[in-house]
Amino acid sequence: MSAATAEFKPFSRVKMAQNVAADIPEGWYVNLGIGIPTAVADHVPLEREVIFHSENGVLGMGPAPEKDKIEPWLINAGKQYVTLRPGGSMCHHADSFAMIRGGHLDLCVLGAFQVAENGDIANWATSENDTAPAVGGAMDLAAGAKRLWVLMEHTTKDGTPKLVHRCTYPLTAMAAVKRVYTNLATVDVTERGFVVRDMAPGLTFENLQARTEAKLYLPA
Amino acid sequence: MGIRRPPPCQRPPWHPAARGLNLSSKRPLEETGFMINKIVQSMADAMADIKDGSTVLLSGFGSVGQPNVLIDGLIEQGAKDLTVAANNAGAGHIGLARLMELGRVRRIICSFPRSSDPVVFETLYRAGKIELEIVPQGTLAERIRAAGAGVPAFFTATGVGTKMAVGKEHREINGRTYILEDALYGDVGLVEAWEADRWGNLTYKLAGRNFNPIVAMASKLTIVQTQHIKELGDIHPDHVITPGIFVDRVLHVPYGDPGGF
Repeated sequence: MSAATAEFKPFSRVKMAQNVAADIPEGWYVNLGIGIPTAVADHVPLEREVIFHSENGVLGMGPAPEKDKIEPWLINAGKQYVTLRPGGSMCHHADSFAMIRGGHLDLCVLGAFQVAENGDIANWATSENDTAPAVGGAMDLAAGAKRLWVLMEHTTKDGTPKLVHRCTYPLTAMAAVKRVYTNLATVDVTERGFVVRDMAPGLTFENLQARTEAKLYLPA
Repeated sequence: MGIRRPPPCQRPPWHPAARGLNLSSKRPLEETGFMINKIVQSMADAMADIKDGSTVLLSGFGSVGQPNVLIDGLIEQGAKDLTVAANNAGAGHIGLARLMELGRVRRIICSFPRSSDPVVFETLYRAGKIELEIVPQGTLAERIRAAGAGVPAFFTATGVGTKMAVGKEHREINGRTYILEDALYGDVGLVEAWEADRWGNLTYKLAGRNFNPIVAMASKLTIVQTQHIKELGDIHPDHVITPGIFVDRVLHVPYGDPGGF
């Protein structure tokens, strides 16, 4: 790491969410995964009509409610209270997942443990011996949405790269990820492999590569 | 509840009076047994005849749309050796978690066994005292819907290339690989509705809908707890979400808002 200690400023959590939000055009139907991806909605202005979906049958979610205006029958997939925008609608679970599995969502943003250069994603279990596995809707979202973007830290807390040649953790889906937003860079998954679109201020390509297991490419 | 009887000239051909049977005009129709009334008056009636070894489909996403009072009724009723399908595996020591803690659940089929307080499930699972079948949430919903629609199995892209695909039939259709998933039938389905009438027509409130309509479709015996009872005809036909054909018993439980998750 000694060669890679030059001054640079990683993207903050807020900036990471802003980076994703800036790339979502008006008119898209979007599902945001539990965790950091949920924060993306905070950075899409209401006047840009992006329609947010939640697995439990909510289409057209608005911002979180004020404390005295909570509707106890209206939650999202993370079991947080939400609001509905005018035009929002409800459906049952099979219809909600038909929106996902039937290819109707323009975009899903998920967190991940690992993303491989072939687009494989591992985001539901970190080992084969997990006490009790829990998958939720991740496999449906990864396989079903028109586009899958991942929002995650570039490395684990101990510095282990999360952009890898091949995933070592159990897969969520094969060849599904189209783009990865991290605290260090934005990277497209292409037929060549990972192509860097954007980097944190002050970060060099070599420095980014040093923190990435898979080979990185500059745009052609 | 008011009983409305049609005048004789409007009686349909199947009606006993039309077949020349002598029914006292003083007897309410419900006593003659010719009026559909799925509303039961007690939990014991609601839970009658649930057998050991049943597969129970349980609606709810967290506590929203989860028929908590019926789960308590099932605990009281005593059926054991159950297979339970639900999105989550219960929280704390109440409801589904309590049913499991009492050793009444042999096998649980769910997508996300973790919760804010999954201690009961985790303890049983680590001790090898409960079988777990983990299913992607959309596959779980579609397996239930398929059962209700008479579709015994279906192909899906969800889970291809993952642990979920191990041992399942694979097929390539139009250049994409799919795996075969079986329908998930319920012997018993427990449902929470917002409104119900005596024919079993149901509405739901907001995110309380979740698995309820498909659980009602997929179960041989569908039991509903409802916040409100409506007179027949008072639920606008355009607003009925689950038509009464999918419902067997309705218990009025003005439960109030869902609590913690």
